[in-house]
Amino acid sequence: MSDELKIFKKKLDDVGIVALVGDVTSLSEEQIIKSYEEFADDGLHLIIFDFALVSYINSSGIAILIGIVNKAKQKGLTISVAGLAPHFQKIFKMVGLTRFIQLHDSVENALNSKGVNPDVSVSN
Amino acid sequence: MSKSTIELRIPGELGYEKVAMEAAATMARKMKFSPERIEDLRTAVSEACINAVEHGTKGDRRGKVAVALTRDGKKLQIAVKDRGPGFTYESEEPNIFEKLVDEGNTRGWGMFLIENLVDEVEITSKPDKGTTVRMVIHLDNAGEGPGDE
Repeated sequence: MSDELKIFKKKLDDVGIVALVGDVTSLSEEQIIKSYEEFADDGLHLIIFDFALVSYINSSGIAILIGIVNKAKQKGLTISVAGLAPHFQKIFKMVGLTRFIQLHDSVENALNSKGVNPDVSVSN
Repeated sequence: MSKSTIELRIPGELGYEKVAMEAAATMARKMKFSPERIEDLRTAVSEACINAVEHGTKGDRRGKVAVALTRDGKKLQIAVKDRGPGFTYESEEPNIFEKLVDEGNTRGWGMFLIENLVDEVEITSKPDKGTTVRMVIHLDNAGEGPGDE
């Protein structure tokens, strides 16, 4: 496991929230994919990745997300990203990721847009 | 204004690119680049160093990556050099639609990001002599930030 990233998860109705704290790089690939797969296998409809406490994403991190979007498409799952810093919003648009994922300012906004009560305290 | 250069040698191991990123960001702040341009530069430097580690030193911590940061008037140049096998660079824009249908090949965005985030890029690569990626950002194109000088 990478020391560069901590992951906290929470489930609300049929929505999974994956809060990432640290760096999103190839060093954290296994952790991120595992978190996605645990929720995806749980029959959820939406997974929100919370990037509010992520300060570094590199091209390998982008590639991890593209892989997750691919897996999610095959399962009919929606992926949203919340709390992304403006620079990384620009990067996501540049590579085309925003064609496939919805960006929200915060997890609360992402949940509100789906009509889910945003009680969003998360835990391991 | 005369040129001034800072030289770093980072281990050929993923994670150490952040040292070069922070050095470049510090220099750019001193030159009063805007926060947005500094973020662009951080990502470009990171990607150049990652390429050098993955393709140059191939993750061998003993293989070093040399990073030279040169302030030249209103121009900031960062050169990232490895002593790897070299490669033939073809500037082909990656396509997310292709990446989405090829699960084993979602990577390959590094050079695309560099080219879109800095003002000039030059790649020099020779077989068995290594690769140098030279990136330049211009203060005139950047909008000035608060800086600290």
